[in-house]
Amino acid sequence: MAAFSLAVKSREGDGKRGARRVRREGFVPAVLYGPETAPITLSVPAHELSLLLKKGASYHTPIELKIEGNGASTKRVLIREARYHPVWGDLLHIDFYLIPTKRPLQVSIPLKLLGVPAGVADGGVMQCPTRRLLVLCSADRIPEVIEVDVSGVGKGHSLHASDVKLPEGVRCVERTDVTIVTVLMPKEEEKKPEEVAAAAPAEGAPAEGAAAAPAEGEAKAGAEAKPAATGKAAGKAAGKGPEKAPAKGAEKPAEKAAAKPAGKGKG
Amino acid sequence: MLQPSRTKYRYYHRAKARGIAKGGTDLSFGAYGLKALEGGWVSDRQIEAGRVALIREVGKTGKLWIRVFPDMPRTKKPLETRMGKGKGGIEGWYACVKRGRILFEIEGLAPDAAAAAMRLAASKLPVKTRLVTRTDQL
Repeated sequence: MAAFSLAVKSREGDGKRGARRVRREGFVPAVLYGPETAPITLSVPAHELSLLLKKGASYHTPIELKIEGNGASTKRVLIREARYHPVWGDLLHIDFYLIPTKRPLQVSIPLKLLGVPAGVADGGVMQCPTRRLLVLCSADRIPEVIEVDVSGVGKGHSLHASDVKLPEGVRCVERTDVTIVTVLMPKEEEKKPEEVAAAAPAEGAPAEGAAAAPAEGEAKAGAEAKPAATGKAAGKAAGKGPEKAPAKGAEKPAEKAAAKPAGKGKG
Repeated sequence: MLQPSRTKYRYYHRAKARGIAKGGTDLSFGAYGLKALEGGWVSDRQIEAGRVALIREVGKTGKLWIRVFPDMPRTKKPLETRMGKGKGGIEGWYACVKRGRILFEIEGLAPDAAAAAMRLAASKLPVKTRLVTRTDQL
């Protein structure tokens, strides 16, 4: 695993005011915490941090953090959380977790899928709902990646967390039934609206009466046609002109029109 | 088109589209997403148009997620109607979208094809958007 190092400064001000001041100066506010240290507020140079992330630093890669300022020291940490701006995607804050020396730690490790599932060759579609696996391991045994052989997954079958072979000294803390990979049947093509519209009256006509059949057939055709058809029918039933009736009514325009025959007329 | 199957009340107060979205701002399912850069009301028809544009590109091999739901009714009084006599009927359903909200997510396409598909979907929407990918964030 590549070694990453980052020079950071300890930060005085906390809260949103201090954090905003740090961001204006081109730094990213950060915090370092863990079971073996009290929380330390830091400011990380934004450019250096972005370069580090581009090089591949992630939640599972240890970073040598060189802290300058008060209490200068070097600490081995993991990135525990990164907060981004919801619109622009800028890094707003980052959490570092001091790697404990005496106890195992939970790390999120990326999964690497090997091979092509047998079900894909049969026309299935592979889905991978899980891309990282949370594992428990000691600090010197953090795997870079967990390799998962998916070549045996057939159509309609799935691979779960319990099926993943983990390296020695690494234990999965996720639920055992978490789906890693599943091969689904391909979706059938959607019917075009005109096909559905053509099919619907043919189904409804013999069973229903002549007057009721077209309205129900159109109602099946889709939500777009439904309010207009039922609205016009309701307008005629209430003795109003079709231009006065609400063309696109509420959920139940027929009931509404019947309940208020004079209410919607010209005042 | 999407609309609630039933609602507790017939009419609701208009929600405000200003401000930044509190949730639904990160990719949750797919590899590519369309993020709103401005607030606005997105109608059920616009969502449907975007969905159709995307599903034609995604096809059978990929997957599509719609991350907004049009649950707000919009009303309109009939033409040539005098004021008063109660509130107008429901004209359509809208999703109130704030800045930063992910609107669609897709997976199973090459980067260029995904960008092209999202561009088509974005042209159907009333808000400015940008393409976001899973690799943008940690």
